[in-house]
Amino acid sequence: MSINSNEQRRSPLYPRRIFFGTGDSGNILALLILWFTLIGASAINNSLFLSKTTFNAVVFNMCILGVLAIGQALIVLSGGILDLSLAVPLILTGCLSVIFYDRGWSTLPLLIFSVLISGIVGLINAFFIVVLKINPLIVTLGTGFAGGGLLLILFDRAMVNPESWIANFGISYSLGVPSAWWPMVLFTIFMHILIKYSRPGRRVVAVGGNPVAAKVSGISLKRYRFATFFFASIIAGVAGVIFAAFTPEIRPSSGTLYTLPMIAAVVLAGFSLAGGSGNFLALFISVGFLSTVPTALVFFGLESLWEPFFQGVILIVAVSLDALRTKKTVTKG
Amino acid sequence: MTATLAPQQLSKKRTKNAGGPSVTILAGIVIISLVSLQGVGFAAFSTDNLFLILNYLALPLLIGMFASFSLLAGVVDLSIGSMVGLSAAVFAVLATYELNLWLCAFLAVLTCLFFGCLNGIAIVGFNANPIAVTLGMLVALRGLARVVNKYDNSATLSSNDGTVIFIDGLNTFTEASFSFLPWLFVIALAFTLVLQLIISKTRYGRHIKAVGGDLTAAVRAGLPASRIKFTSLLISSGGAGIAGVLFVGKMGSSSSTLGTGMEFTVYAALMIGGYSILRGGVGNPIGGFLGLFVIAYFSNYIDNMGFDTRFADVFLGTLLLVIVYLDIRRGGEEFE
Repeated sequence: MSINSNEQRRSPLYPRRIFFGTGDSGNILALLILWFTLIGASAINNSLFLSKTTFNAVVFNMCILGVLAIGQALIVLSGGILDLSLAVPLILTGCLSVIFYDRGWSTLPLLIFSVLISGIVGLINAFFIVVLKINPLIVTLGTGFAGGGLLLILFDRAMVNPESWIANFGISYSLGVPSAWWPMVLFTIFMHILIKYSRPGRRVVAVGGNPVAAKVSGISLKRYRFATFFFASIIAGVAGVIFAAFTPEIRPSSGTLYTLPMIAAVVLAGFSLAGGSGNFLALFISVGFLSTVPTALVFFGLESLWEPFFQGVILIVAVSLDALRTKKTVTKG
Repeated sequence: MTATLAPQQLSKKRTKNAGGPSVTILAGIVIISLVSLQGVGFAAFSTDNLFLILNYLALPLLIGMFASFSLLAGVVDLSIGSMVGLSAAVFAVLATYELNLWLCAFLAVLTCLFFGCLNGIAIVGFNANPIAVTLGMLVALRGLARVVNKYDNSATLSSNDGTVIFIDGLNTFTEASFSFLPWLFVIALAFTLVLQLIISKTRYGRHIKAVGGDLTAAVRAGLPASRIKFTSLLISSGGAGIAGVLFVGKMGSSSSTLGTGMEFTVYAALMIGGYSILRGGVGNPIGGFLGLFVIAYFSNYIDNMGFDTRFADVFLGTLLLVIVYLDIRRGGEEFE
């Protein structure tokens, strides 16, 4: 039943059923099975896998990737294709928060300013997309490349003071899990409710699903492009603070490591790259799955050298399966 | 329902390529010449400097020309940079086991063709988004190249030291030159000219352009669109494989960073030359060559001036946006 409605949702002949979520439950179930299969296989292979250490490793992996993936998912959902420049606000905020801390700023203005400044990256992207009408993929490829170069010139590296609250945040625990895990959980719940039940959220989906219809029904595409790219950068900025909490020495080049995993997480979660469909709860599970992969690889006796290979393969398989599913329903319909 | 990227219904203008990119290229060449003249002086135009530029240009040109097949067919292949790295790694590592060099080269190119085939199956067979698939392939192959490089056996060879495996014949071939013209460049340029003829004069060339330009029309006209897209992906990966082998000849070793960011430089250059990574069917090889020339001249300028190479990234990123904006001004596809 759930698979049926999922297929209907993807077919252009049926009205999209995004808001009532029945179609997504099948997707979430499939992801959960995938995740548990991985955990089960690793545990059978080596019973030490089911330990506190593994749990912590997976949770730490999830913290940054999860928040970044939420920003990326917002772009994909709104029809902005992909934002390849999210590593720039990530590193920018990371470096700025360290610099502001060293200058003796107190916590709240530090957070607000460093995150807001990274929002500028999103506004620049949106300017090129909305005003100059350049395809977002090319814009963010260009700004990501140029921004990465600028970050290298501006900040050679930023050393996080191990005594600072930023570093303490990275090692502290609340409610049994690392504190840095909670921003991702809160963002997931917030975005899920926002996209499903609020008017701006539903409009984001409308803009992504069918821009022409959205425009005709009076939604300003320009305003929503500016908003989504701005907020995606802001969210990546929050990830930057978490990044600073975990990384004793921030190097500008390290941000690009996250670009592919976050796209993989979004695609694996069933977000359509054409825009307009996707579920943030599924995103949470796909981030969990992808964060388990590196640890599982180690338990299967493969070096971490293999990690990018598997990340790439997972992305290719996810994209292919997604396309295959869409193709089948269309030919049937 | 094909996986179209931009909602094309919204673009008002008809897509055409009137006049070509000659203005952009000409402006690029004039600007870079003036800037070099001001910064470096007349030495910027000496044959010695030209040799450096052409030497730098030869292999990217070869890669770009092979990759232009997939651009023309409308399936961008972002994994070419990693394929260069992988091919170099496979070739260099096999060579350290003292296998026949032709066999090593054959296996290196075959590896790339295999992964190009996987690209083709995902993009043409499953109808997946080419950018997402080849982005995944980019990372996967970069990782694989690093793994392959680890099996380097050169330490056990008494005749070599470290990972350097200068292969005399190959090195002589890749470094040979005729006065200020490196032979490799001459070969790449000849290939460009042949390609220009293939694209503009032969049936196959027109078929590629038709498939990339308007897929629906091409399919209705009875063209084997899937086969053309598939072969174009194979051609681009094969070209990257050949270039990887030649890179080892030039540098004497492979490294895990070889080919990193090369896809960006090559595609930026091809886009200056009139190709588009989002729509197929536009661009011509000679334009692509001139675009690469502009970029090569620019990196030469940065080297000569002793600037921080990191400025090159900033410049390239900005240049890409300017070029695409100019492309839109002359009738390229607008986003929404």
